[in-house]
Amino acid sequence: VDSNAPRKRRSRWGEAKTEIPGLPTAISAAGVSQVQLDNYAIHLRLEEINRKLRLNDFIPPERERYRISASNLFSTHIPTDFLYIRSPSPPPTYDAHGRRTNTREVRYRKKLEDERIKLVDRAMKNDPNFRPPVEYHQQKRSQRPSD
Amino acid sequence: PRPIMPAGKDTSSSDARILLMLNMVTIEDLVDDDEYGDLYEDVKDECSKYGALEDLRIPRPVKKDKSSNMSMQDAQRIDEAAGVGRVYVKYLDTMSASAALNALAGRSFAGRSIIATLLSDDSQTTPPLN
Repeated sequence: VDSNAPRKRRSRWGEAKTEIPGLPTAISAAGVSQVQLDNYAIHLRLEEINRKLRLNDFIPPERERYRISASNLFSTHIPTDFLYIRSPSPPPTYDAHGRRTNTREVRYRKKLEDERIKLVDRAMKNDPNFRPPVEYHQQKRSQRPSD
Repeated sequence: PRPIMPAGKDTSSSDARILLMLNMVTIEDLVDDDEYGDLYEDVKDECSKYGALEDLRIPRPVKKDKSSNMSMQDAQRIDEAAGVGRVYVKYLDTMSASAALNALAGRSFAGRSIIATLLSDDSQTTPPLN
């Protein structure tokens, strides 16, 4: 094997299996509708997000931090199969006290919180009996401009 | 409606050779051509470890640009009907499909835990494979 062979492209696959109690991941589709399957997926993802936020476990490990739309970030085409590309961090922003407001922690947390809002909105549309998690209301309130 | 049950050894699904995976890709992951190609290869490489594939579909969202008159609601409806956000893997035989189910359900893909189920060829929930 040529030691100069291109490194393998970064993979999105993680090794670990995580099960949330009461929410199986290997499921039976017998007698289950599309909508029901989708609602179940939303439900499990919401639980997953809540857990990650609660446990402060939302910064993906380096090897799973796959690139985001490389074609938009680089003007020349780079054969991405041959490179590890890390999406560049946005320029730092600061609050009135000079504290940085967009650290990696803040950005990844915000990403999950935004996803949670979207998921809850979808779930409420699909299922009138759906009751959003408490965090959803707190977050919606804090995002709304003060009136 | 029936509650979601863990996959069991029910005989009714013994002809199931389609692996359906949920909570794996988001619409945002599927828009960019390069990213999509990359993601498709990731899925194909891993799924091929459990048996020969007959078909692999990762439906993509319709293009939403300002020039088209399509409303957001219409686009969303079309995407849902096309199964966008789902991953369909059709194996040549049922053994491979159940091996893949056991191996991949619960695995993380880009930080999301995969939900997986097996479908038979005549299942009503396989739009892209029809």
